[in-house]
Amino acid sequence: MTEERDPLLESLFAEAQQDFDDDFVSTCMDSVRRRSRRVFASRVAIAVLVVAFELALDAPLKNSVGALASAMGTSLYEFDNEWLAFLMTPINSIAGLVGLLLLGLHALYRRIT
Amino acid sequence: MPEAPGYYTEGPEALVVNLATRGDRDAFAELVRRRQPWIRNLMRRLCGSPELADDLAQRVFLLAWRKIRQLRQPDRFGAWLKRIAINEWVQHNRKRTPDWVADIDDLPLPARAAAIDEAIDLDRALDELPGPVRLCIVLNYHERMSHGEIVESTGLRLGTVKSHIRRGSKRLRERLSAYGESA
Repeated sequence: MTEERDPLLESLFAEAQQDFDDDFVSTCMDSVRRRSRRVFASRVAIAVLVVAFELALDAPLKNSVGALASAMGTSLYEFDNEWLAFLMTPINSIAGLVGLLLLGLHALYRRIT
Repeated sequence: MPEAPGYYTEGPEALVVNLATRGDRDAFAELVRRRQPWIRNLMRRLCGSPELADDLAQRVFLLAWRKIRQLRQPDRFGAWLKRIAINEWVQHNRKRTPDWVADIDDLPLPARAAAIDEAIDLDRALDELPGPVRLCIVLNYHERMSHGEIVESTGLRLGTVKSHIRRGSKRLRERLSAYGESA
């Protein structure tokens, strides 16, 4: 099939073209301005919430992170030999155990997929 | 609304688009001023209702303002805007028009008696076509897009586009002549 167009329809489409002399641009730009104001207001609100959240939870958050960090370093097994204890440090802790567990899960996931 | 400065009204579009991508609202207002007749005419052919067409055209420009920072090629602003307009209309139509996928052959020809006092009305005739057919016809006749370009813009298959244009043109001629005879 060719891409020829029907001349009658072509002329009807050409005649239907309108010129506009109204306030469309103003109306449109008003909605653009309103949207910009809304975006600005929501960004300010989010920033205020983040700051308030930070102020309210600063101390409890720091305490929790500190407690978690010290718990993660707890040894799983007490070695008598200092050198052996030093060498086993990376895996002889809750953090090491969690790390190994994550590595295992990752390997399992890769094997499955 | 105050007049845009001369360098906006006289500047090449790519330059104005570039300014708009950096958040210049006056530059964007100039783009709206330049492109609104085109987008509103396109929407009128697609919608049938002038009020709805203007409403959708406004949403097109609002979306364009939201996304204009993502526009990488300022000289492709027109094509980019047209794509937004088509998507906006398709989404609107999918939400509200149950005949979006209706077969053109299922539609009855207009009752001639009902159209006695009505003038030939292209928009009214277009409004009676199923959504995808109307879209292909408008892009082909109003936008003078080739079949390949319509495929690219709408995501429809080439065979479908050709069929919609062929059958849609035929149906449109029948409808317009029916109005003509009854007027």
